[in-house]
Amino acid sequence: MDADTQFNVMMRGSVPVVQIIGDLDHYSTPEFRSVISELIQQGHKTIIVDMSAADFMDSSGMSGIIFAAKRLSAIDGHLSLANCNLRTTRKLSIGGLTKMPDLMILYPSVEEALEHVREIQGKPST
Amino acid sequence: MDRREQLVGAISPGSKSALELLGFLQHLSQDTAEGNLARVVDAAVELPVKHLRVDKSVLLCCPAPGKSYFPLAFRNVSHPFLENCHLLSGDDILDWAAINQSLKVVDDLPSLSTPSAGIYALEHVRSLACIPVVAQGETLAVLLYMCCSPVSFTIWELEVMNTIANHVAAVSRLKQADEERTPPQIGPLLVRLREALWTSTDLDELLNRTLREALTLMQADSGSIILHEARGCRVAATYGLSESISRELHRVKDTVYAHVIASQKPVLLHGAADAQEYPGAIPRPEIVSAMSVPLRGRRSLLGVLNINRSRAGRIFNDADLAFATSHIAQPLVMTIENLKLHEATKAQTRYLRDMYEIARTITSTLELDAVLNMIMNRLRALIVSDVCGLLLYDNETGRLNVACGYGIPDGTESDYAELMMIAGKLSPSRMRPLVIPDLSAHHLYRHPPAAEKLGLRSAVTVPLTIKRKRVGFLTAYRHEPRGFPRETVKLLIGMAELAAIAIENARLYERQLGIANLTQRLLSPSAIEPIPGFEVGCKYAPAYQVGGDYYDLIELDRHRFAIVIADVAGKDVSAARHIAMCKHSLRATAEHIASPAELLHKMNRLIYDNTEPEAFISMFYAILDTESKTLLYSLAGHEPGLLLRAHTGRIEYISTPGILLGVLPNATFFERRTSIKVGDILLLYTDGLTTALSSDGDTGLSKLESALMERPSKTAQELANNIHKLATSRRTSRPPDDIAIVALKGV
Repeated sequence: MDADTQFNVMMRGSVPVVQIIGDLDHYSTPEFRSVISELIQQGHKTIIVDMSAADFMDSSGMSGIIFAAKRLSAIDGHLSLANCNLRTTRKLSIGGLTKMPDLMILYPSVEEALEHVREIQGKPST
Repeated sequence: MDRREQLVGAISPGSKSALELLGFLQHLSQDTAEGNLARVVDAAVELPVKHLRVDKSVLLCCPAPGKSYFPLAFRNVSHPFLENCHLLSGDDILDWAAINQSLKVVDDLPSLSTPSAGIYALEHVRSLACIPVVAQGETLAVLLYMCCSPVSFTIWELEVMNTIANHVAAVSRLKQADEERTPPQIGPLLVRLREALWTSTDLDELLNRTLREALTLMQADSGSIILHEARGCRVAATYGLSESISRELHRVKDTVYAHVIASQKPVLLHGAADAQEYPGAIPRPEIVSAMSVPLRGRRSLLGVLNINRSRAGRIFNDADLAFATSHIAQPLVMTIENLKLHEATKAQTRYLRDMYEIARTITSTLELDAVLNMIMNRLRALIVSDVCGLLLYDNETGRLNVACGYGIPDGTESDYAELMMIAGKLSPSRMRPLVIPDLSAHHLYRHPPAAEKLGLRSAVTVPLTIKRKRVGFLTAYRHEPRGFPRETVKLLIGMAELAAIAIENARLYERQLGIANLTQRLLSPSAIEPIPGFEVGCKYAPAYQVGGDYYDLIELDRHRFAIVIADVAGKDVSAARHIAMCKHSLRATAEHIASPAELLHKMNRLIYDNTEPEAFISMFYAILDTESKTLLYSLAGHEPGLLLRAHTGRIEYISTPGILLGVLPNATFFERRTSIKVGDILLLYTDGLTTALSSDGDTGLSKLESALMERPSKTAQELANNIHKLATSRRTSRPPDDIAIVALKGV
């Protein structure tokens, strides 16, 4: 149990990148959900979640990711997950979530996620 | 030879006691040189009682001819004596000593017929020595040293008494000369007074400093500030007064300041003549002029400022009084009120901080035992109490039971119950706390035996209420009487309110959890029905009281059995609700749907429409045909089944692509068929198992495969048990997850 999971939100241009530092589990998922809700409330339709420092994700954590994906999908938005580790990728893959581009797309890095997002938004890549 | 006679022998020049006495006399000389009138006067009555054969002493100031004597300082004399000192005027012995300015000794007082015999009899005086205090040819006072047995003072003792009298005379002269030498400059002194008013946030310290500056400003040599507080009058600051006077100041009735408090008007006094109007006052004839100024606050009287001057010839007038009122009393009132406001604000902040801390701690958990433990810990930290206990009503029996407590050494539940039953005697409608300042004097709770045994003197009990209903009591005891001041009771009330809510929440949560547990017990298969030609082994281990995994076996017809294993997101009551929904829907529909993919499609829609947006379920659903020995299966975001083939010794993954149930409204699912022959083992499980076996860089699947391959000869149940044991024996820092395992073996 890591009660001290942190959620850092950094703006990359107009796209918010939520970095999860610690475990995404039963204890930290409620906060993750409120971070996502707040960003959506601020008008963001595209959110990148950086999982590079998220060591572990349980089924509660996965419900948080599904929550974010569904909320964004409902407003024609998009969720990108970057830097998922092997265990997380496997979990998402078994859940059948990696083959649903309307819900979420996994990227090997934040940069690649950003690049794709900019393409979707029709802005020139920098 | 009695002890007193031994002492007589000891107190002679050169003895140890005499040397000690000489040491004190040396201090006295120093005090005299420094002009410390208060200390010299105090020593004048103290030293002979301690070091000579004197039992009682009093320093009586000499009045003007025809006026009464006033005690200035005293030791071991009673109030009746002090109150009747004025009757000593005309006493042969005192008058003789004062007028002749010579010491007078009486060895056997009862044998003399003196008009004041009755007063001396009050103190059982048998012999005495009377020494005049003479300065510049004028008798200022008389030192009266009294003994309760017939004593003949030695020359040496009388010499010591005389020396003391000379010191008193000398210090009176010194003070007078000093004051006349340096006329004060009012401007800078006023600045110093203003500065003193801002020097401290400690009320008494500030008043003492201010009083000193005020006395300098008014060219006065002694004074006091008496505060009129809720519990009575209190001497907050004194200067230039002997200790005995300072101590007695606020106790005596009919004093000048008592008059000022009653009338709220200032009083000017000139000499002893005016002082006689206030018979309760402790007479101090050295004071030639005095003023008592009321300290009037915005709403009430805060106290009295007393200023005394003992310099002959210079008396206070109305102008002085007006000056003291406007330049000292008024700024002083403002400062006292500000400080009281500051104190009140500080106390309120402290209260709020404590309440926040209590709320934060006791609402951080929903487990009743933990909540009770935290309440006790906060009580220990914030409230000074020697014994404390919490009583709660049993919801079913309505009886009051001890929930927790501390403070009774090796105390059992019945010890606490006996002590806490003070609460049980309260009227059922009482919602307010009951404070018992002194158990030995209370009409209803006098000397409860348990409290008396522990030496407890004061108590408080606060009802815990929810929506005007009492749920319990918080009771605390202290060894001291009046051990629970108003602030403590206020904090206890706040704490009781929060504790009641936290306890009620924990009880509700326990009830809810109980329902969820019951639900899950009803949901889990109690026993697996045997399947012809197959062995089935199952293991279910929820990580918490309510689990999120489940499995089931449903007989569809004589040779077809549905096998299902699922994992619901979350580990709370809503997870149990989702499982219930899943299980009943499956049982109702399974026999009508021959296709696992179609069944999952229908389940997906059901879950999508009837749960929260973030809810999902992973599921493995299969139909086992015992005749054809085939398995038709479909997966919805679930871990792949592992099928160990007996004839090859290799493992096949049993899986189909498919998203978790409840994520998308129109998800598509696929199905496949495989055979299960004799000796083949199918292992189905939830992700709690792979998570428990995983480590950094490893999904846990390879460990599971190895475990399966190592134990093919075991029964299905042994296999399920062994794999579960393997997973739970690993040390991990992560919280455990639910684990469900179903093993199926062809036989």
